Amino acid sequence: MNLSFIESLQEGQAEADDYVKNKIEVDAILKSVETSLKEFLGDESIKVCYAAETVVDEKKLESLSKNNNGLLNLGNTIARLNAIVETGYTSIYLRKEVVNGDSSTMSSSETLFSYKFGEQVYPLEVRFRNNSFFCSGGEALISMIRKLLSEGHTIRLLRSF
Amino acid sequence: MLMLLERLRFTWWNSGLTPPRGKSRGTANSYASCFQVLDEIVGVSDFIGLCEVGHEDMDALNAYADAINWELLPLLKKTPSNKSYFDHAVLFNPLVMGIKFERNIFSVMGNSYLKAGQHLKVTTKSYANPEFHIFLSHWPSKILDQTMQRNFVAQALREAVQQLLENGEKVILMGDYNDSPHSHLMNVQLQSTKCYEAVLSSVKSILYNPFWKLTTGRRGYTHLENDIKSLSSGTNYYSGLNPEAIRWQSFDQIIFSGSFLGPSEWYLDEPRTQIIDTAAINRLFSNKSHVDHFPVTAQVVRP
Repeated sequence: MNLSFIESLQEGQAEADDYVKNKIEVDAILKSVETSLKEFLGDESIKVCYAAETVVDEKKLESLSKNNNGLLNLGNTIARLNAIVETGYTSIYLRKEVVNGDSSTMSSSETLFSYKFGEQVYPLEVRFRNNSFFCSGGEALISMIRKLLSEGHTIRLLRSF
Repeated sequence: MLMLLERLRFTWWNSGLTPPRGKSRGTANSYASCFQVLDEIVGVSDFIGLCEVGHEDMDALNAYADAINWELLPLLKKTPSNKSYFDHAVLFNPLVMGIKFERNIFSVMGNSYLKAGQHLKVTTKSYANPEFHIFLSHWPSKILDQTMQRNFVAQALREAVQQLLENGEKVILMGDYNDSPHSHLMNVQLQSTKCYEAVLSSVKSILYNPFWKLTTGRRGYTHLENDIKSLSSGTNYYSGLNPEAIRWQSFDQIIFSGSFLGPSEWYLDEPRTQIIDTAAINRLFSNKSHVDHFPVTAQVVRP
């Protein structure tokens, strides 16, 4: 009986290495998107931000609301906050400082697109408007992002920001 | 005895009106054949998913929907490269359900956008107001030897339904997958099976494909059979050469999440899940009409 587990560990190691390699590739692609956006908008102060996408889980909200008693409005607000869950997608949007006289505020754009890693980073899902694009590798992801940045919708979104 | 409170009947049909990369066959004769098939299936359906329909067919299908007080939802969305479009539409009974388009699902391979499916949300008009996630697909043909493309679309569709399955949602996939239920693509890649036990052991992962069992035909051969050509054993007929020596293929399927088998509000009613291979439609196959697919139908019930 062979009691060595080295082969299994090596197999896992190759998968883990692939994951890291793919993650580095995706990070580099997203960094390039950030650089291009700043260059295109001509504003170095613009920050490309990443946020975990959230939704209200209606089933959870329904069950939390059932246990609501008294103080209806406050109870509903708390129930709603507790029913917020992460979808697993990361949204990409832009932020910039808007100076108005002596004061300044931060302005955020709408989401440019959102994405979610697959098991090995790829297939990486990009969500853009009513579409889900599953990218099998770096080349597919670059092609996909090129396409969505060339959409009139994206440019209108950047202009309105 | 269980009382039947509610039922929903989902049907899928490759109409053959406008083949992919082809021109519309929209002649008076082809619409007459199409309506003949629809007449056969409207009575047993609340939702009819169609493929191989194009822009030129919408007026005729709209007129048909109006005549029976149904609605037509065209889903002819272009791919980002503008080289192709989803050739789907849905006919549905608005007294029974409402439909919302959710998203297109593509697999990106290099610079190509492969159509994996379209996601719709269906809600019934009943008090309970349940929500069903429906995925329509018409995958690339095997004839063009697009093995890699077909693997990618299967992977994309699988990824698209994964989270819904994990959340215990009610998911129904229907389409012309251009492959058999027992193929590697449908069984391993999409993770759909004929085995109840396998599904029940992993309700939030494995899909149930009732059309696997229907690949062999309902009637067996006897010397008393008058017309051997009526012994269909699949959903679509292909007379060209193929390595499996099979003319009747079973490419049209309706597949269910495990939530329709286990403890649930809604159940698959498998005896009413079938290929609609009526004599009238069978005659169209041999009458030089464009029709070369039988519709398939499935019923889910809330006891």
